[in-house]
Amino acid sequence: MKDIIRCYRILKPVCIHTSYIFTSLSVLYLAAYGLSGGQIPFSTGLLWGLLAFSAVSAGLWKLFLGSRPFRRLPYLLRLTLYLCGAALWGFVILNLLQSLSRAETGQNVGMLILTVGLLCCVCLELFNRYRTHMYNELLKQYKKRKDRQKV
Amino acid sequence: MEITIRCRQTNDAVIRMLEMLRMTDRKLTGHLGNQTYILDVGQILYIDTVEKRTFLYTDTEVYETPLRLYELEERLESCDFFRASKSSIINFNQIQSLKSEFGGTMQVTMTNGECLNVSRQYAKTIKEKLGCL
Repeated sequence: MKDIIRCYRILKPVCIHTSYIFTSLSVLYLAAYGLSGGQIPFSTGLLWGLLAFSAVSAGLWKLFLGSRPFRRLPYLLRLTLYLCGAALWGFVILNLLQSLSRAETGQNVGMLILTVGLLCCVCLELFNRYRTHMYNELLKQYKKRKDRQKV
Repeated sequence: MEITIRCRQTNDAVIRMLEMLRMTDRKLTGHLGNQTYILDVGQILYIDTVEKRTFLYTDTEVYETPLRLYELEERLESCDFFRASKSSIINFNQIQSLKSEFGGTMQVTMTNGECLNVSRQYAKTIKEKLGCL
């Protein structure tokens, strides 16, 4: 039972993170497809690729930025490791898609989506960091107010 | 004020009644081994329940109390304690830092370095206290 709860605690934030990245990339892909008037290739393979990129980059986020063993390393190093890992995985997916269906995938579109995907990863992480910073600042203010009341 | 309790024998109900009375004085009784200690509410970091047993966590020790978590929650609300999950109550004054997680949950680091999770349902209480909502 404990293992199941542990798995749930690890997988839940990863799934939520995956859904954020996948949704934003899918919306971007659909918007680009609509704006180009169908010029951009639209394949289920690319959508699966987006999902794989989102899931693995969320897993990397949990590993480098959310797990205890890596907390000893400086934050910037962990962030760099996370982004490099996500970028590497993105390139692997792109090459895989390219080798599977050369005509349909569209390397340029893939590169654009990969860049935006990485930007999404950074934005999500920065947003979460800002939120944490804000909560801690408010906590400090709350404690100061409490101390004043005591005096 | 003086309260006199007359009973033939000290059973669980009497002990719980005494605990409730002590709480009005911002004191709690904790059992550790065969000894009973009177604890100041402020020194308790958090309270949790494991297999229907309630434990009080201070900086160094873990004490057991016969009171139920909901009873403690009701009584300690005025002492800046809040429900963090179905099985725990946290002393807000003993929180060192907060970390928001995706999905609305929070991770709380206590003054002794222990990390506790606050579920999404109860993270709202923290946000309200901090003035975010």
